[in-house]
Amino acid sequence: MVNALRHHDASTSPILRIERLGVRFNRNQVLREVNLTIRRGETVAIIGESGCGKTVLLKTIIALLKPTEGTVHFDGQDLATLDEKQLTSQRIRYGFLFQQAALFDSMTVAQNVAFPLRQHTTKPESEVQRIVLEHLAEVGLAHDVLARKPAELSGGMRKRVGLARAMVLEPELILYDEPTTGLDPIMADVINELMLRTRRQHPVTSIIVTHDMRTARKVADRVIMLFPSNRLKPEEPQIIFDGSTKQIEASTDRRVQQFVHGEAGERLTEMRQHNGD
Amino acid sequence: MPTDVEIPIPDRPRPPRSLLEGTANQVADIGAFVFDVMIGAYNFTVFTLQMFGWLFSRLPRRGTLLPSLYQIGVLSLPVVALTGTFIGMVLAVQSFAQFRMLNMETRMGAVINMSLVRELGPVLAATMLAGRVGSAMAAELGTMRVTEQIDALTAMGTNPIHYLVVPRFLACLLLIPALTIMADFMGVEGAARYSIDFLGVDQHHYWENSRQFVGNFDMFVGVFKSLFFGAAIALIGCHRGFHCDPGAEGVGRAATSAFVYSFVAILLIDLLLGIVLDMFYYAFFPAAPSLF
Repeated sequence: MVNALRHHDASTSPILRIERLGVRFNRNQVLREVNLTIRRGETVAIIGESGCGKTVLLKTIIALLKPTEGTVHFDGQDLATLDEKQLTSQRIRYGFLFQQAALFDSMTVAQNVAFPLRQHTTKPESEVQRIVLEHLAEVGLAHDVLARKPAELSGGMRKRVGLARAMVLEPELILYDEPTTGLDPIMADVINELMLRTRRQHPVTSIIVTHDMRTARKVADRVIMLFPSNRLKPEEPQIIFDGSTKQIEASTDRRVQQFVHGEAGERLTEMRQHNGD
Repeated sequence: MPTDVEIPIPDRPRPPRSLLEGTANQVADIGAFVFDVMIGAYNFTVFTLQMFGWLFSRLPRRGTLLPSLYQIGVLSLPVVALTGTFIGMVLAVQSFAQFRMLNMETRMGAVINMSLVRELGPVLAATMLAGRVGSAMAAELGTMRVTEQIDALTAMGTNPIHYLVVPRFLACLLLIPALTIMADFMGVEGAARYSIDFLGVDQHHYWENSRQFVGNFDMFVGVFKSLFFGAAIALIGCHRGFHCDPGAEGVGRAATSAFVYSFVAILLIDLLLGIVLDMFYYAFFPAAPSLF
């Protein structure tokens, strides 16, 4: 009973708490007063139009960018209070799939996937190779890619290798930056299935930044929509939607509906006015 | 309203309305330039301190150091040797006529070898290294920056300064003395072969004069200076790559600026160390030999 309660607490306790987060580059305020709590085991899709700060939010979560205002707590720890060495050890608990996979050009696929293991564990080489093969098999890649360089792979294969590398240390939180962008619909669905399979096989919390509503509908438990801060009134929150995938369809917010259905609406007029046409 | 085929011309800055406004603009431009230089110097200092912090806290792994040693040392050897040989021979060609007029051809060796081991050997080896290695470092790290590979390293809990900069710095620092000695040796040998075999300078007196005037301290000066050159090349190349602007143009600019800044740094360090080491030399050896 106690164990069951502990398990319940662990599964619903927040792994990530973001409070009044603001990020500014010179005079460009990208994020403003963002408040967000993500519970353990959740899969959250962050959607929003280009330039609204989705990737900036993701990079702030992993402390690649420092917030101008507010705090990010990971597992109860304020990231701003950690020094570089503490942050480095904290980051081992994250997995990050970059938009273009960010594989190391100078290394082979096998070396790329083995990299975190060789850097952060003392596993013998035979064990490292076993884990690499296992993770590559999980993302549907066979032995024949092991010795290839990233430049020799297709976009979809690079993303799958990136996913294997992000998962190899079995992180508690995995962040996906536009995992299906630039892929054909079938390969995009393969990546969606892999994200679902990853979630089934490992108890992981996932944050997916995406433009793709199919990905959000298929993979996420919860959808958060960010709106560009420069087009908001000062008192308006930057998160304009936070709910389930079913709730987003029923949202009455015009901006949410335009994004979900991919309609330009008055955005085209706004852009024309901005360009002085 | 521009049509589809027209490319809008960016607004030109308005010409100043008065002499006072023009002067004020110039002062503002100078202020902005000084401010940029100070920010750049601060960033470079922080980057250097971080590099030394990681260098003294944990040495890089053999797997990251060996490729850098190979790239920087072994692959630079042919070009440095070739440059050294030709510079030695060119010095012999240029100085022969002048020494002949004074009937002092046998003193050529002393002058050529002194300039080679104290100045030209280290400076040319460093210049070749800045061109071959410094700009390559900036381009490689710049490409890693724009393709998010440096962010990926950070995201995987690996400090990019420790993983990427420390091995390159160590490789430059450890191998530039060897490259300098190679440039010196090839230059000395090239000058001697040309002077003795082609210009007919007496071999015995050529080497005897060289031995008399070029001492261990001169060798030490050249090698000692090269350590500073190597450190500057690695730090500038890596710093330019790390702070590369986005896109192909940014990478190109990083590579070019790495060479230009490294070259200026080499000349500046050469001058400063030349002054300091000369003061040191004459303080300790006031009766040092002179050519005449």
